[in-house]
Amino acid sequence: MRSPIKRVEDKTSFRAVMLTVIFLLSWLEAMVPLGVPGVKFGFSNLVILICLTEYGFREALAMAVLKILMSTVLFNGFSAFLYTMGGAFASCCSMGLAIRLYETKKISTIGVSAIGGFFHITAQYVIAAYTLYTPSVFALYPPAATLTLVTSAVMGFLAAKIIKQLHTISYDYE
Amino acid sequence: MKRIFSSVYLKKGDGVVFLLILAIIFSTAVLFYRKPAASAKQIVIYVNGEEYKTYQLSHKYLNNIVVPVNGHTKYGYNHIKIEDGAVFIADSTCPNQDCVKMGKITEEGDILVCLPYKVVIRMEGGEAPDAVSY
Repeated sequence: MRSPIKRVEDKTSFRAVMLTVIFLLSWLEAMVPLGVPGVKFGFSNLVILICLTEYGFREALAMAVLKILMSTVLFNGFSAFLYTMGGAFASCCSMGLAIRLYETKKISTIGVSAIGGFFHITAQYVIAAYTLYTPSVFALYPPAATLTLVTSAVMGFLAAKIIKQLHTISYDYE
Repeated sequence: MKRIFSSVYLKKGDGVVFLLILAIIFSTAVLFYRKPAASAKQIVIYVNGEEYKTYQLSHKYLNNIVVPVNGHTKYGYNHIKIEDGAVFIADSTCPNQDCVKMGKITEEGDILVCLPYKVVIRMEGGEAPDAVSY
């Protein structure tokens, strides 16, 4: 099922392409706020999810780290660094664990994406509660988490569609 | 349309995941939405986690509150307004303006947050109307 990338050049170009997609999408989603603070469409999570299912945890984690660094420099600035980092790491690692359930066909990408989105928003609210020294930010948590569940389910559905398409492409390098 | 949403993608485990997450969300909602008996409402402004000032909601003569805060890079402020029992941030110098977009709060326990400036505005049921620091 997986198509591991072997040559170094392919790895580099693959990462470049994926990162470009992440940036285009996170730029797009920054223009569409969803009303509740902390909630986004999660397009970059979609890319990380596809990396995870197709190329393994290491590639996905690399994507997450690069995404954190670049979006800190380009979009968010250092005030949001903690939120970006905490959210991305939490979702990437939780999806990395959940992907085992996906490989044994217990859940689909929709379930994996829901787990990732849930950990993403939870991490961000926990960090917010810590940096603001007050648990009262959790008053906004239930609507934010519910909305995240919806958006991440949509992203999981899109991921399933894209993965299906990816499998129709043959990788012939020789 | 029916083909797109056929059960090819969804599995039983997904339902379990969704139910678990919804249960967690619901339990946090129950934890944080317990409202005590309402009395005279007041708003408390926290800056950096410390209580900055407390105002009565029935504040008529002073409905413009400007909270000066030290942002990460430069001096900024949150301009808070009280109008007809509702509180909102009218203006802010923060970069993303999320606090302004949060709109008005009217209920006890509701909060307004400005993340970059670490400002939290919380509506609380005041226990004693006299214990207000101006």
